[in-house]
Amino acid sequence: MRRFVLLGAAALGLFAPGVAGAQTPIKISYQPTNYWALPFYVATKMNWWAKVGLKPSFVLFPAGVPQMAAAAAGSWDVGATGSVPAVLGAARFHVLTIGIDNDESATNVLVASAKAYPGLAANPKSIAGKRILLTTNSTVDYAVRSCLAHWGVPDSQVSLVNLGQAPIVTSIISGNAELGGLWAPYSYEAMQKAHAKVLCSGKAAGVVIPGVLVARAAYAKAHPDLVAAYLAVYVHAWAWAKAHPKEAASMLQAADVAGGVPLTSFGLKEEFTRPTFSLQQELALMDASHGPSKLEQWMGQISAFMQKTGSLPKPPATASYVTDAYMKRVGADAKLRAFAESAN
Amino acid sequence: MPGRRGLIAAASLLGLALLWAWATSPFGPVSPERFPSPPLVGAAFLQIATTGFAGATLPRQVLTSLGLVIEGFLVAASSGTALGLAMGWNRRFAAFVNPVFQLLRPIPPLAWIPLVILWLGLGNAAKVLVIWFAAFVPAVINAETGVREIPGALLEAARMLGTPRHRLLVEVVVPAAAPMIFTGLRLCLQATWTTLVAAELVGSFYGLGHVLSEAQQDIYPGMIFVGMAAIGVCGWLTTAVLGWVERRLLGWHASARPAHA
Repeated sequence: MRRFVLLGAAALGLFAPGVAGAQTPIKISYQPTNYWALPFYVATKMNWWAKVGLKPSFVLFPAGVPQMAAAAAGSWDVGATGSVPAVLGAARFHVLTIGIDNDESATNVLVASAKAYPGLAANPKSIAGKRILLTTNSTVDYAVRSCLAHWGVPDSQVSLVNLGQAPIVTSIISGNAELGGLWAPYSYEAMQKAHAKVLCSGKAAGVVIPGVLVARAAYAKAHPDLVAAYLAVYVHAWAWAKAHPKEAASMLQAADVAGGVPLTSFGLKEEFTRPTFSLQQELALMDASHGPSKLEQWMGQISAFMQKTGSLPKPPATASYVTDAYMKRVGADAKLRAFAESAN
Repeated sequence: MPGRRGLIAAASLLGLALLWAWATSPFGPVSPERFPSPPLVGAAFLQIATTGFAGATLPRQVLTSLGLVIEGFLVAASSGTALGLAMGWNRRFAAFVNPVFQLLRPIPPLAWIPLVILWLGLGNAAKVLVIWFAAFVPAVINAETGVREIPGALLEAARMLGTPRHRLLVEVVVPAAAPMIFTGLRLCLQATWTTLVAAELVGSFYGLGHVLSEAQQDIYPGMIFVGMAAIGVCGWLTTAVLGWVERRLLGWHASARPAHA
């Protein structure tokens, strides 16, 4: 009953986002070991959710696919995830892409063991015939296949073996594999513990791999203001992190310890090289007023990859699930915009 | 009355199928997005049977898993039965082995995967070891119980007739414990199939566990159903084969006779 009263009050605008006081529950999903999860940790520590009238409960997932599957059961309302699961979520369960959480093109990488690296770096085409361990249907799958295409090596000339990220690191450390597709922070672990080296990244292969902010379509339609408030907090947290690098680094370290994959100083330094975006940059990257936006183009390339691998025989049109409507709401609301753009 | 029982079984399956079709239809309470409808499962079956899924068509996926299951079953059944017989035959040996066995027993096969990869890499040996952890347990327990439950009078009679120790084991103990050993083997075979998905998480290219894993990655419920049904049918067929072997070998024992006989 209390829930209905709260929702009713929200619908009547009795406590609009931007006004501290009563808080509306919202279920936020993410994967705790990722860099782009930092804003959730920071915002909670700083108690910023209350400032926009949200009372979040967090639903954590080890990877994007189970995260998207849980959308069908309404286990979460909004969240952040990888771009590949976001396309899958859009195709299967009407999950909307409403923002960009970071550019992870450089941190989805193909690593080679210390022994294999020199030969492969000198002649990347010699990768033909080798076995590559990777997590299929993920951003790193996209990065690795883009690397192969970049070198002119067809997928059919290598053996792609599906494994979780942690077992891939284990295989490289134990000498049972010489090539693995990894995303951060697992790539840092392979580099530190097995002296593996990055052979190629999505960025080096010329593709853009965004991490994205998502919302269930039904939830977003029913609660556009709450979704906008969520976005404002997320964007604000990155603005704060850029302005307070030391505090942000210690928060990331604490968040990763809590997430189970502690970062070394090397990993910590690498993580903060990833591009993240301000409200204006988000709006520019999602601007579809002169044709498909940048984000739509990137997601379109990822859809094509998923079609090629057979994961999605008929991917949805990007315009049907990539929308800047909620980010625009942040821009249009003076209080939310000021909050999102503030670095303090 | 096997005919009537067959009709009842068929009616039960048909009823379930009709309930499923109605529940996932536009008039039913369940969305096909969350629980695939019969046409979606049919389309998935057609796909894997013709163009293939997860790298191969259904026959190749089935044969790969069948090979792995047979390998895992043979290793688990032989080692487990031998260990169980030894534990049943020699109480001191049982007292020595039992603590380790009891410690290993509750550990889920999935938990071994990271260590198995470290020890054996990603080949078939690693998959067989994952299966072994789950499947050898029922073989051990049932073989041990089978030996322990042999009537003392039977063993005494054999000893009084001067039967040498090795002949006593081969000609009295093993046959007398055989019904329980076969119970263990049936459970061992079931455990082999139920651990298949975990085993094929260890870097597989083909197999029904691999199909399930890929379908999960694609959030493809129709294909998950097809993979599950294929495992169910294969498990049922291999259990039937084992039952046939049991009846051939243990025709003298009441438990080996068909239930309706």
